[in-house]
Amino acid sequence: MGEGGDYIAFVWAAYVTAFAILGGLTVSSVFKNRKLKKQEKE
Amino acid sequence: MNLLVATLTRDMRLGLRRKSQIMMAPIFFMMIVVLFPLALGPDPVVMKLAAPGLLVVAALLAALLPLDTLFRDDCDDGSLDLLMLSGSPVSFYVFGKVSAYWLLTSLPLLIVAPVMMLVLNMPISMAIPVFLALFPVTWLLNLIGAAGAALALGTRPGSVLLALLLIPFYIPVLIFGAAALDLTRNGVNAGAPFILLWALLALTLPIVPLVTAAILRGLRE
Amino acid sequence: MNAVFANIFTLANPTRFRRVARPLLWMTAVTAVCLFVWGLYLALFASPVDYLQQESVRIMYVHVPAAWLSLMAYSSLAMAALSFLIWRHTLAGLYIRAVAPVGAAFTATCLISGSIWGYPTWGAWWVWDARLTSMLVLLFLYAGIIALADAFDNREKGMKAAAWLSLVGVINLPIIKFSVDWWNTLHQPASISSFSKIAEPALHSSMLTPLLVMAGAYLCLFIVLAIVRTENEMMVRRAENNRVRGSVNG
Repeated sequence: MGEGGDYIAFVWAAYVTAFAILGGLTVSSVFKNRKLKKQEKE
Repeated sequence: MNLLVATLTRDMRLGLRRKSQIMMAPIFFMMIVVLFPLALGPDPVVMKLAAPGLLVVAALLAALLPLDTLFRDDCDDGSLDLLMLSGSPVSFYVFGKVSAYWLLTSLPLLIVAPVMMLVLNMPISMAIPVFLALFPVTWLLNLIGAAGAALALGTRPGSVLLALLLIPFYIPVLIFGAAALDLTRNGVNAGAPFILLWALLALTLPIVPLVTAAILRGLRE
Repeated sequence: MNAVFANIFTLANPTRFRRVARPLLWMTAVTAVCLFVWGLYLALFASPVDYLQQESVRIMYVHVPAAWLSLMAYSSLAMAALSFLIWRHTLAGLYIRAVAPVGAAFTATCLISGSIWGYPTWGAWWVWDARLTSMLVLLFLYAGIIALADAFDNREKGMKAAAWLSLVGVINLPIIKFSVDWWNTLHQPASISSFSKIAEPALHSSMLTPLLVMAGAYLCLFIVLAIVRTENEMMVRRAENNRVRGSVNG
C-alpha cells in the first residue's frame, strides 16, 4: 500500500494546517479583544 | 393584482424603450456559449458532452449579470419607499418586477436557445426538453435573484457581491437543469430532474415574492 | 440618536454580558485546552491505524469534527438571525457578524484537511464527493454572509441583511445537500463511491473516543471564539456610537 512514513507527512500537514487556521483565528480575536479593551479604558 | 399588472406593464414599457437593452441578455448568452468551443476545441464529441451543462451555466450567468439593477432604479428615485409606505402588497410588486425581468431577459434567451443548440452539436430533437428545462430554470434564477437583489439593495452597485450571494442558491437549480438535459441526451429516463425543477418552481413562485417583500421592508432605512 | 437609545435599551447590558461571559469564557477555555491535549494524545498516539489507510486515517480526527462544527455554527447563525429579526436582540446581530468567520474557518479546515486526507487515500487532491462538495457550497454561503454584513455603510443594516441571508440559507441547506447527493450518484463512477465507503468504516470505540474528544475540544474552542468575537463586535459598536455621539455633541 505504501510506506507508513509517507502518510505521516500528510497527517502532519493536516494537523498543522488545522491548528494554524483555528489557532490563528483565536490569537487574532484575542489580540483584537485586548486592543479594544485598552481603547475603551482611554 | 392591479399592482402586479401595473408594475409589469410599466417595466415592460421602460425596458422596451431601450431596444439595445433587450438584445443584451440573449447576445451575452450566445457569447458565453461560443466561448467554450473556442476554449475546449471544436471536437464535436467534446461539445456533445459539454453542451447540456453549458447551456444551463450560460443561462445562469446571463440571468445573473443585470440582476443588480432590478430594484435599484425604483429605490433611487424613491418610488420603492412610497410603495412600501402606501400599504400596497409589495409581494405583487416584486412578482411584477420579476415577470417583466423574465420577459425582457430570459424569454429572448429561450428563443435563441435552439440556435445555440445547433452550434453546440445538440440534436434538434432536444429543443423541447431544452425549453422544458430552461423555462423553470430561468424563472427560478430570476425569482431567487430578486431576493438576492433585495438583500444587496443598499450596497455599492457593480460589485460581485450579488453573484457571490446567489451562487450557492443557484447550485441546486444548476444541478437539476443540467442533469435534466444530460439525461435526456443520453436517452436515460430524465423524469426526476424535470419534475424537481417544476416542483421547485411551483414552490418558489408564491413564496419568494413574499420573502423578497419582507426583506425589502426589513432593510428599509 | 436612535442608535444610542437602541444601544442602551435593547443591547444586553455590557456589564451583565461581561459578568456572565467572562467566567464562562475561562471555564470553556480551560476545558478546551484539556480536551485538545487529551484528544491529540488519543488521535496521534493511542488510536489504531487503519489497515488500508495506515496513519492517514488519523486525519479524520481533525477533519470530521471540523465538519460537525461548521454545520453547528451555521445552525447557530440561523437561530441568532431569527432572534435578531423577530425579537430584535442586538446581541444576536452582533453574534452573526462575530461567528460567520468562525464557521468559515471550520469549513475551510474541513475542506483542506479533507483534501490532504484525500490524496493518499484516493490519489487526488480533490474528489467531487458529495460531502466535500456540500462543504464547499457551505463555504460559499459563509463567504456571502461575511461579505454582505460588511457591504453596507450602516452597520445595523448590514447585520439585518446578513441575518436574512443566514435564515434563507439554512432553509436552502437541505435542498443543496439533496441536490449535491443526487448529482454525485448521477455522475460519480462506482470506484470513487466505494472509496468513500473505505473512508468511513463502522467506527470502533478506539476510534470513536478520540473523535468525540476532539469534537468536544472543537466545540469548546467554538464557544471561546464566539464569546471573544461577540464581545469585540460589541466594543466596536459602542466605540462607533460614541464617535457619532461625540461628533453630534462636540
